[in-house]
Amino acid sequence: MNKLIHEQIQAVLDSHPNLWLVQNGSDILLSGSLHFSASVEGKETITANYDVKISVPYSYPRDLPKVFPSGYSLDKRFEHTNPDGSFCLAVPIEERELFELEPSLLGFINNLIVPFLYGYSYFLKYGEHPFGEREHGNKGILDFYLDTFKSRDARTVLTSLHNFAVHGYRAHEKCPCGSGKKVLKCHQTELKSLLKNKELLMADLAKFITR
Amino acid sequence: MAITINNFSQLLEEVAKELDISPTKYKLAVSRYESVGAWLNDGEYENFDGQINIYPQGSFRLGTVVRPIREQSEKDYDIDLVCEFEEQASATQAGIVKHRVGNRLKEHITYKEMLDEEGRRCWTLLYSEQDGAGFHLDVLPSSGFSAVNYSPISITHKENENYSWASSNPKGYAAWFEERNADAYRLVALDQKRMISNSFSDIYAKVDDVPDQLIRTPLQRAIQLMKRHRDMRFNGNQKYAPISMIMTTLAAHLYDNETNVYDALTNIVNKLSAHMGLLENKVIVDERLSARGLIKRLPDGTWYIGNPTNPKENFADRWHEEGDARAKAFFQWVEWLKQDFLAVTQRDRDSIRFTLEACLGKSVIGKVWSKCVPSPAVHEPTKVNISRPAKPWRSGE
Repeated sequence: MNKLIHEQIQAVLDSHPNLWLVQNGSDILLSGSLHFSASVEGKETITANYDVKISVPYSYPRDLPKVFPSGYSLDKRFEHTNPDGSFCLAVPIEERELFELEPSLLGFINNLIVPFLYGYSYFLKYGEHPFGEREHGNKGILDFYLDTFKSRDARTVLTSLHNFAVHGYRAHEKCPCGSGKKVLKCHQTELKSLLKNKELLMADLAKFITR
Repeated sequence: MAITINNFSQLLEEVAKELDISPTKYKLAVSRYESVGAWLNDGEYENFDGQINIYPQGSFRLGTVVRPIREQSEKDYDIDLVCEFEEQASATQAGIVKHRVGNRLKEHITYKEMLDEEGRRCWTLLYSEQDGAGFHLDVLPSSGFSAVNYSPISITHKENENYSWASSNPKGYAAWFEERNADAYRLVALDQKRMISNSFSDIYAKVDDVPDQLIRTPLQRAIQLMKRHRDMRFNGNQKYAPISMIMTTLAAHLYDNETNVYDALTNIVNKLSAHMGLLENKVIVDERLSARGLIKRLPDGTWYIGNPTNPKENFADRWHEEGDARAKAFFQWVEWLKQDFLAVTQRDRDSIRFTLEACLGKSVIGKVWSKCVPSPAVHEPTKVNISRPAKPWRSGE
């Protein structure tokens, strides 16, 4: 285990003392209970304690951890688990963007896992998703891009994103949102953030754009 | 972290206890309705000088009372009373019997103030109590005269301004229910009486003083939980919600003397769920269950759930209406029961807690949770502030 990851794990263990490290060869597993009290502006604070297994791949941080419920499965009505039983935290590029806000294992836990479990708890209590939810599969991915640019015009968003992805960021091109404005004066931040993860972006666009 | 079935069953039991009428309140309710009965018996009625019998019916009699809840707030208990004039219905008229009771109640200074507007079948007295948990006493005027025990009585029914008679058999139904419940009752009665006498020695000094009506078998507990679950899950869509009579009847039929409430619920809910295929006109796979014909789908698409004391009365007579709306709501509710109450060992503690808060009520779960579920020794929860949450997704279609 390299030093960087070791430090990141220590930070997790310091902050979440009910998790412990299980090491098996090159696989890293953080196991135990995630006991949190999460607050969201305008919504109730929820305190909860869930047993989880956080599996950190050898290729971390190029690939992100997977999170599994430990010893139970999520309520079927809450439909956001992957076929392998892991939590579906977000569409891949959004997961990556949120990870990069604070690119560490602790950041991953606090920015992705805890909000997911908050949403799950909230759903069980009130039957609705506090932050909304994405449709499954490609529909959900498309929905993410439309959301990002607050547009309903999929063709414009996708072709424009494709151009940026191929030719790189150019401030004077028109914004993907379809406003007609230069991207410099429009969704500059959102676009730049997407372009940071060009591989994921291209892979997503390939699902919708036929050559 | 998982929860044991034992703890979970105990938790459900405690919840049902909270929803139930307390022994103190029970005693108060009985003395209230006995006073009403005495007052009615002391009245002078034109063309009637026989006996008037006052007795409870419905959930108060069956021991399946739950405190009603609407819009997250706990309401007054409903207590149904039969006020039976010992005479043939044919010798009098529905309107006369109905107003005998109404007029007599209005002669009493206090009752006059407590009396609600005339209902279709009842007169309702509204008791507000100091502790906030009052009750509605629904007095059901009726005529009954028969040498045979448990015969149907005639109750009055007001439609527009016309009164007519309808048939009902509250004593017969109660007797049928008690029969279904009898074995389990024998097993738990003495222990429960001891405990009640112990905790409420001021009102029930001796074990024998504790009335049988305060004993609750796992069947009765299961029905209480099912009723509260229905009230919570159908909040805002009451029109098609399963009626208490149907759930009580089916649960009593299916109960197999399980010794704890979790096992009772598991058995009842699984057997109800086995009928789900009827929605698509499929046969019930379990032949023994099918032969019992508890829920039947007839060739013309209508549904049948018989009153055990009067097979001609069909509790499901409206289930086919509006595209089987009530049947669909019933099986949806059964599915919810499954997800909310069963298979607990495959679920996480906190997800169980949040689910129970949603389907039984937040305040009641808050009261009993820590009593029944040992909390693991943990550190303080880690504080997290969520500022940019993602929307959950799922790969694949």
